[in-house]
Order: sequence, then C-alpha cells, then structure tokens
Amino acid sequence: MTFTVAIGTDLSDSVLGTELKYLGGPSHVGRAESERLMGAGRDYGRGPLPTFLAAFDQARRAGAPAGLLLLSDTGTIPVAAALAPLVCGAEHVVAAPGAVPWEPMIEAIHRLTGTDPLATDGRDEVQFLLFGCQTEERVLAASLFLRSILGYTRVATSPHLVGSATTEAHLAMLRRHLPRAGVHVLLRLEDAARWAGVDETVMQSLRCTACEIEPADFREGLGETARHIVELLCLHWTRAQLHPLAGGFSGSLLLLASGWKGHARTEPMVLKVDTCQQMRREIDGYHMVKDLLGKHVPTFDLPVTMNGSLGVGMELAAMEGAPASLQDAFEEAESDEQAERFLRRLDKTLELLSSRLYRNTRRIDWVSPYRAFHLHIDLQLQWLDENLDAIARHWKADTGGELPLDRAMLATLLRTINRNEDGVETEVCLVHGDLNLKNVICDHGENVWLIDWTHCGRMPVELDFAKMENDVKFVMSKEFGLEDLPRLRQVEEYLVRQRIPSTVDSLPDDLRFAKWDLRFRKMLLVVRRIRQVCFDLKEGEQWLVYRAALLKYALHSLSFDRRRGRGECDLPQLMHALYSVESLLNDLMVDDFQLRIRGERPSCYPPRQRVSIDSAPWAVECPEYHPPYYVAPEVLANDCTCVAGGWADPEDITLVSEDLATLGVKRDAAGRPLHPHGRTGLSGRGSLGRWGPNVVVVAVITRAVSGASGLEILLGTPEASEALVLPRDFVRSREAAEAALARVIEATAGWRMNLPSEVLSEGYEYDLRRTDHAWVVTSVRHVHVTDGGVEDFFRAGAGFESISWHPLDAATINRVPAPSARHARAAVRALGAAGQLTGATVSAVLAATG
Amino acid sequence: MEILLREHGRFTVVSPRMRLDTGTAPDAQQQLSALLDRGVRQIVVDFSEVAYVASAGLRVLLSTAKRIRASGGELRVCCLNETVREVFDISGFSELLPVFASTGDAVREA
Repeated sequence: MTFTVAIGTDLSDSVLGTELKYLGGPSHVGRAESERLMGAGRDYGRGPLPTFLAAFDQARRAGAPAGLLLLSDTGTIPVAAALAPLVCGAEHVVAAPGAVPWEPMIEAIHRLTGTDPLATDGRDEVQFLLFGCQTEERVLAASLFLRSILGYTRVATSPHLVGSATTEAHLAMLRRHLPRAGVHVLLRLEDAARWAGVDETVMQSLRCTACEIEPADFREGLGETARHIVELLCLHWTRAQLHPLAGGFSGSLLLLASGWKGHARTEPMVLKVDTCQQMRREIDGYHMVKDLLGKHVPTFDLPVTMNGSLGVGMELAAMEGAPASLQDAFEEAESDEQAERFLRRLDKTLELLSSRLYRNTRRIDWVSPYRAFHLHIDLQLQWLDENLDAIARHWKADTGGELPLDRAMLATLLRTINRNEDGVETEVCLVHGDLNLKNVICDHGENVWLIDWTHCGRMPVELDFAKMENDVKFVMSKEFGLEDLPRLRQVEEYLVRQRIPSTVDSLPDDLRFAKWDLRFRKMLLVVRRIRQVCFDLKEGEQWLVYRAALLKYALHSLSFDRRRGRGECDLPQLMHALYSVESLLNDLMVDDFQLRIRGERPSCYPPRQRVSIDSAPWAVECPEYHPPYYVAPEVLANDCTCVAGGWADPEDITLVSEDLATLGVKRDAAGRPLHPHGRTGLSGRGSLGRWGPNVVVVAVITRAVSGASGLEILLGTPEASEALVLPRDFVRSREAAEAALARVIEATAGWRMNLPSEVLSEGYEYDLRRTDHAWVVTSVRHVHVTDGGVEDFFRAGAGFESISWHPLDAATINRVPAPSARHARAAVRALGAAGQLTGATVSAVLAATG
Repeated sequence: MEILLREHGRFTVVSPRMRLDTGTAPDAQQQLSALLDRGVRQIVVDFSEVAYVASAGLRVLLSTAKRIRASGGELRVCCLNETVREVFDISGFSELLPVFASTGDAVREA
C-alpha cells in the first residue's frame, strides 16, 4: 500500500496570518494570498489549506498510511494558530533560511515511512504531496530534492495548497518549472485529496477547480496533454472562453482566450500549443520581430512543456473591448460599411508590416522563385495528384460528373515549370511566412496584433501578400456555392492577367456581376488593396514572384479539405483554388521567365545569360545582352597552332579567318562565327575546340541476323553512365567524315571496319556545350553489314564501358536518348527503303517510337 | 497570315506558313479560335512551313490546347524544324503537346 507523506513549508503566522502585525512582515505572502489559502474574514481557517489538512489529519488518525512533515527555517516551529491543531504529531525539520534540510528530511521520511530514502527498494511505495508557502523557494526546492535527487516518481502539489507573495514566480513554478521537473501539478483540490488518499467530498464545496474552460465541447475535444497545458496557461483565471484561430491541419492549437477572475473580465491572451520543435521556431520568430513591431506583437509568458508539447500564453496588452481576428471582421462584413471597416483594419495591418518590418529589413537578392517556394520538389506532383483524386471524388459525389479539368495537362504544366531553376533579382526581407487574416487580432479601437510567427524568415516579401490573398479567396470566402464556380473561374483568370485589379466600377464587362454581388465585390476589393500595398513597396515589378507565391499557396489550399478532416474548405472553395492553379500554371508556362533561352550547361561553364526566346535571333537588337565569355582550359591547352596533335583552334580568331569564310556562317564584327539559331547566353567556345561548327560523326551500324527482328544495332554505354548511345566523336581538322567514322568504330569497339557508309542526315544538333561562337553539327552515317563477317563481341574503348549489338526494334529505340533514337529511326526508314525491312515492320517500329 | 486546312480522318491539319511570332500570332489565334467555335476538337498543327516560333506563337498554342482539352479534344504538332524543336524544348512545350515527326505519324490514331 502506498504511503503518503504530506510536506508543508512555511506555515507560520508570520507568513499566513491576517492580523496587522503579520501583514507587513518580510516573509508574509500578502492578505489576498493568505485568504486564498486560509479563507477570508469569518471563513478564515475554512479555506482549502486547513480543509485539506483537517481531512489529512482525520485520515492519519483513522490509520491511513500517511505522515506529515513540516519544514521551517526558524529555530522553533511556530505553525499558524489556525493550523496548529491539524498538524499534531508531525515530524518537524528546521534548516537554515533558503536551504533544503536534506539530511534531517531523509531521516524524517525514514522514520515516517519505515523505508530508507537512500535505499533502492521500497521507493515505489512512497508518494509525496507538497503544500505551504513560498512556491518558488522551499516548495520548489523540496520538490526537486525529492524528484531529482532522491528519485521519487510520485511527487505532487496543487495550486490550491501553495501560495507566494510573488504571483509571477508562483505561476511560473506551477506552469513550467515544477511540471518540467516531473512534479505533478494537481489543478483540482479534489485531485489532491484523491492523491493523498483522503476524503475528497469535503473539498467539493470549496470549488477549488481548474480554470473553467468554455465551450465545454471544445474542452472535451482537446487531448489530455493539450487540455492540461491550456489549464496551466489559464491557471490565473477562474473561467476562460476559447476561440480557435488555427484553420489548417498541422496539429497545432492556436486559440484566442478571454479570461475572467470571478466576475471580473481580464486582459485576453492568445494561447498556442504545438510540438516543442515548432514552438521553438515560433518563439525564435517573435524574438526576430519584437524589436521592430513592438506592442503589435504579443508579450510572452513562460512556456509550459509536457509530453513533447509546448504551450505559451501571449498577452495582448491594452486591448479595447473584446478581441476578434481580422477573419471575423471579414466574414461579418455583410454591408459596404462593414466592408469599409474591415478594409481600414486591413490597411492598418499592411501599413504596419510595410513600414516597420519589410522596409526595415529588405535587401536585394537573387531568388529562384520556384525553388524558393518549394515548387520544384517532386512531392508537389504527388500532392497535386492526391488532392485531385479527392476533389474528383467529391465532384463525382456532388454532381455525378467528371472533374471539368484536364488533370494530365495540369501535372505536365507543373512538372515543366518547376524544373525552371532560373532566378530574378528581387527584394527579400523578414516576412511573417503565414500571414492570413486569422493571425491578425483586432480590438474595438482598431488596434492590431500580429501572432503566429512560426514561419518567420528572410524571404521574398510577396510571400506574405500572396498568402493573405490566397486565404481571402479560398479559405474565408465560404459563402460561395457550386453555382458560383463559372464566375469564380472568370474572376480567377482576370486576377492572374491583371497585376492590380481595377476598381469595381472599372471592371471589364464580363465581370460586371461583381458590382452587384457583395461577395465578389468584397473579395476583389481586398485583393486589389493587398496587391496595391505589395507593389507600392517594391521598387521593381516582380509580378512573376507574386504569381509563383500564389501558385504555392493555391496548390497547398487544395489539401485544406474539410471532408478529409484537413481544413475548412468545402468543394466550391477547393474548386476555386483548383481554377486558380490552372490559370496560374497556364500563365506561368508562357511567361517570359519560362520562354527564355535554354539555361542548361556543363558544370564547368558559368551560368548563361537567359534572354527571351524572342530576343534569341541575331537579327533582333538586344542591348541588354552581355553574356559571360568562357573557353575551357583543355581547349586552350590543345591549340593546334602550338601543340603537336592539338585538336582545338587557336583563340586568335584571325588565324582561322580564312577557314571560317568557306563555311558560309554568319559572323560578328570581330569575325567570330555566330550560332545559327541565335543567342545562347554564353560567349567564347566553351569546351568545344573549333570556332563555329564542330562536326561530330555518329556511327549507326546495323547487321542482319537470324531472329525475331532480323536486325541489330551497335550501341555502347559511356563510362559513368547507364545510357545506351550510338558511337560518336568529333571529326578532326582536315579529316574526311568517312575516315572519322572508321576511326570512331575502331576506337570504341576495336573493330577495323572498312565498309562504305550512307549519310542518314547532316546538320545542327542541340548540345548543352553550345555557345554563341561554337556548336555541334552531326554527320550521321549508316553502315549495314550483310555478309555476316563481323564480330559478335567487342572490346570497348574511347570512353565506353561496354559496346554490343542490340535488337533494332521499338523497345531498344525507346531506351536510347532522343538524338540517338532519332538517328536509329532514320536507319529503320533507310533499311525499309533498301528492302531490308518490310514496310509493315518499318511502320510498326516508327509508330511505337517517338 | 496564311493557314492551310486539310482533313485527315478525325483530325483537321492546320498548316501555318512562315513565322509564328508577335506579328502573326493574333491572326493565328483568331483562325484557331474560329475552328474551335465550329466544333473542331482534333487538331494537328503542321510546322513544316514554319521557320520560327516566338513566345507569342507558343501562347497561341497553349491557349488553344487549354480550350481544346477542356472539351475533351486533342492538339498535336508535327514536322518541327531544328529551330522550332529547340524552342519547344526550351519552353517545355515538347512535353506539353504530343510532337510527331510527320503529318502521317500525327494523324495516326493513338
């Protein structure tokens, strides 16, 4: 049977007495605290502490396994007169002021329980309940001694049995330090009685409970840990009314709490409970912006930690009237006047952020928008697919039809644009990172506070504005139904086209309906205001970054699916977000940012200057075109005018001017040849040896064999690669293509081939090494071996790991990269024309390959 | 802008001539829209006579593809020269629209 030791600290009249002679004493807890514990006026001596002690004394006398130990730092033990009869027979331990009398405590516990606190056995049979005064001093010290030094696991206290002159410290102990040390904080006096094994019914009349959390059904819906944390955070209140603010499905709890002490209303708080890791991020965020935003971010109290969760209470100082989120104001705006009032608050919020946060922390940076907003990760495609599956199911259930969108096209558009890693110069600053209307708290005096800084960081400022626009459109405009979708789609397409939407009076004709429909009018007004502030703030016009941010949030909103328990969006809102995704993807796909010259390059190249494809032709003037110049060191080291056997032209263009003149290619003022397809974003020759065209011979070698397909093709795997490609190499200076072909075959396969070849094609081929002044042209040569006098197996060389025959069929062609596949298809056509393959086979192979 | 139209089974083959750029795109857009308005839903754009496609031309193709796909149709392209092919590759249109080597390949049923 468990033995309970109740340990009382500082119970003298000099600490608790209500007579005048005690009240001014240095260790007195104060009249209010004394009355809270002992009872007030005529009820002095009937408060929770004496009631509990009387019940405990009764239990002890009745033979319950319980003992009482009193601690004091005075030479005698002057227990308060009202308590003295209740503590007869208690063990008394005296120690120096502030110290834990550890040795006499151990001896006293040993005497009371019959077990040695320093021994390893019998410890689970003893538990402790701490009561008395100076919570932050001896209650804390004694609890920690029992819990952390002696290692007892069952150590508890109750707010109704402990008190302190310093309310802040008292609450901090109960909320944070004691729970963190593993001490149980029993919020109801009845729980303390039950813990100590005494009659709990006599406690009921005292109504010493935890703060009453309302609404009751919300309280019941909280998990045990979250509920206990919330109760601890509201410890100083008798009643708290909670209003949830968080709308996502992250698992965090964000609450606006109005509090009462008895009948008196107190300053409200924002409560947040999340995992310790997330909350640490949030607290870091507050610290980052507190100096800049001052009173417009709440003041933190000490956090409460429990079972891996952390909760904080944040005070909204000097609030006028009841608090409400900006979302409440938006949703309640059912007239133009109310909408105007909402807009004033929104303006104030945006102005506050712009003037204090964004302008004070901004700097110009190079940002790759799709990468910065995590649109480039493969998971985006997977999430899109999953969300579309769910939305399609809801659509089917509600309308009986198929989703009126091309899902495959959406996925392709997203996959295509998210590969674009190009960047733009834009302003980055400290941003909120999750700026939605729920995170803006207002009062009746139009004061605003900004909460939830978990995602605060240095990012493009568009992120905050786009997030706010997104939530206004898809999360908060709940009054739209399926019948509104065609108009919502029209509005969305307009908002993607128009950087700053027009005033309602100047909207295009097809959007005139917004003028008469407050729902649309309100939404357009808010979007217009958000974008006006955003683009007033920016020096340059970064519409692209704003749209990329809108895409990020619209994609995310597709998951806020109420029917899947993941948020508050119903089907009309999800469809609205989907139309936005569709419009944005289509728009970004043909944005100048996407339609720029190709940026791929070998890793040794500097980044290309990516001008619009419209500026790619040399005939088009492009004054801003100043590409970097690059020639690879190995090209310079193999200058054929300096090095015997060198394969590269000299860097001095005048030395090859005559040769270039015979090629008939365009040249610039310096005499350098110009890429036939226009600007490439890089000047010089890169890693190509020749000025102008660098001819590559491609060997397409086929042979007749007996078997299903009847034909095979020679393919190799380059070192450090898994691709199958046709053998190829550069044609050397003054080398004939035919001779180059024989050299390539001998070098790659060790086969001295001496057979005539047929030209399949000759001309330019895209190659990532291309520059403005050097490019690749291929001479694709086909040799078909019919007499069977060719090796079955080869020894690979010249950079190939292996080289062998493969069936010339659709399966093989589909395995090889695009250029080699094109040449293999050309060989199939040639073999068909020569009668080596039937027309049906040629058609079948060509149809099955791309 | 001159655009030739031919019927190939269920497909209407559209063959623009010369460049598809800012100057010619509005006309091309108008002609393709007219086709869609007439209920044509299977279109092959034959680029064999198109020397160059600028961004304006790509915008026309995408808006046509969006409209045609929303109504269950299909837009295919074929006969891209190296320059046009590169523009398609740069912009990602090669993945967005089915590209075929020849008109014959393009009008063959999938």
